[in-house]
Amino acid sequence: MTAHPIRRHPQYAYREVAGEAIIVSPKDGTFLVLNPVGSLIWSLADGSRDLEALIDAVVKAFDVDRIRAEADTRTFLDDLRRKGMLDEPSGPARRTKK
Amino acid sequence: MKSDFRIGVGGIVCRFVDVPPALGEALARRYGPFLSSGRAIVSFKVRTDGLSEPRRNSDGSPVVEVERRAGRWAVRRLDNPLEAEFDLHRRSGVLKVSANEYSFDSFLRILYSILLASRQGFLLHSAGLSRRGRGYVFFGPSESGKTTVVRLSAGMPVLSDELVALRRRGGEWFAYGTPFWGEFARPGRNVGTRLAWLGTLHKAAAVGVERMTETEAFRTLLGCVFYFGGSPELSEGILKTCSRLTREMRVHRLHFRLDPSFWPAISGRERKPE
Repeated sequence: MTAHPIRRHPQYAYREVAGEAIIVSPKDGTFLVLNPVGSLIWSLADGSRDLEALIDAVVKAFDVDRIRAEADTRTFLDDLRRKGMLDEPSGPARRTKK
Repeated sequence: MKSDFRIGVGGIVCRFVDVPPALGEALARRYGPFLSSGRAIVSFKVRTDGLSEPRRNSDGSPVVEVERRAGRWAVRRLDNPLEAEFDLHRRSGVLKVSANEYSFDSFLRILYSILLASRQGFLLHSAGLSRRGRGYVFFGPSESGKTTVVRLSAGMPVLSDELVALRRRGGEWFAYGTPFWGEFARPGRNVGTRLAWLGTLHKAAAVGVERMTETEAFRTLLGCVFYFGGSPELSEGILKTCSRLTREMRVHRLHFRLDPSFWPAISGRERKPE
């Protein structure tokens, strides 16, 4: 189980609109819209919570069982990690467009 | 031959000095209506040498990189090469472009996307028209009908058929003409008009105008902002400005046919309280 605090990468500006987080990529200016579960995790991933705390928040907010909440949270965080969107030593992924 | 140019878009003037003669001739022709005598906020020394050979990504898409490092901006494009470094606090920079107007134009678009973002503005993929002195802006991706709307609006001054500059000044929203064009193939009018109408374009069999929800408008608008990132502060600025615009202005979805019948539909909607 991951015990360290989880923090979204500060290079990604975001804004919540009607429960959805809209995130701007720092590398190409593209916009990413998260679903409500992802938006909650993203907004709470400010470095003050670990995986357990994020799962607790998902269970409470969406009234789902803990097994499913943990699977969804892990999948989402893995996706963020792959895209370099977490503040971890690997840093943000480099992408290009246009 | 003139080698010193000041170009103004959206009320922001930039200066380009030491422009090589061949490029200078093209700039004078292309940006004529946007040449300015105003005070520049940044001045670039322009060169057309020292660039690497053009190259592309394996998927064929052009490569643009925009980055802010230690207060300095770095812009690079690989397919029609350009490189620029500038410091907005020192108001100076160096621009290396390929010796053609398209390379310069590409830089100018990127530059204004940066400059507008910190001034409650942005470039929007849109067609803009001035009707009775007020700005009508139709936004959408490629092929959505921006140039078509311009062609169906004979007699109205064109702000652009590609990128319109939107900016909030003195508590009001303005739509500015730009020298950035699409298939219309000529620059817009160098005018700023109070923004009267803003909507997305949808080709349809029947004409109609619907008001979008604020959330839908915000997401749709963001998807059409011309922006390359490079700074979280600037991204915050874009998010804040778009959010404010969709709070303060009605944003519509326009269903239009390939005729000018959308104008009466817009006028009807303007008269109708919502």
